[in-house]
Amino acid sequence: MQGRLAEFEGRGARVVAIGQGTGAEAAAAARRHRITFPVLGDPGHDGYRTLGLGRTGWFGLTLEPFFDDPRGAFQNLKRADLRASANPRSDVRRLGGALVVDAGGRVRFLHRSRTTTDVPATDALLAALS
Amino acid sequence: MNELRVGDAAPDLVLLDAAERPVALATFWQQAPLVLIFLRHFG
Repeated sequence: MQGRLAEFEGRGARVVAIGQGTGAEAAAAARRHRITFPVLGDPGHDGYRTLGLGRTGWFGLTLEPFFDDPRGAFQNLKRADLRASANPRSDVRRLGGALVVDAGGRVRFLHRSRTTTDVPATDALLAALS
Repeated sequence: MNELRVGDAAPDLVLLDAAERPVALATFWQQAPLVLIFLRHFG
């Protein structure tokens, strides 16, 4: 996302990331991953529940990603899952998603990840801004 | 609660910024279209 941020801004949109944790943890993650757009914390997971973002089981967390997307699964393990599992506010089984909201407050695009490696294509997010 | 769908009004979630201050997402989309990425975790 960071690498294509200019494309979103060129279409007049803003990008915000949300993660499980406090605001300070969100800011630390932004620094760690060199993210320049806002990163906010959702320590109570209210946003995740409101959007209906699910949780995967242990198979979905460990073995399924290697069938679905071996490279992505390896990156997840290498980068994040182990560190996130040590944070009591972070549910490592939580799945992500994406939402595009127009300037009138209407949902234009909604993606609920089905697996840990299921992320919406950046082009699909950009198309939702058209 | 009905599941959120495309075309619905977006939920005005309140989240926390770096200083732990509450931020309403509506303040973003009132200015411009908003792309929200829900991370699995902070990694």
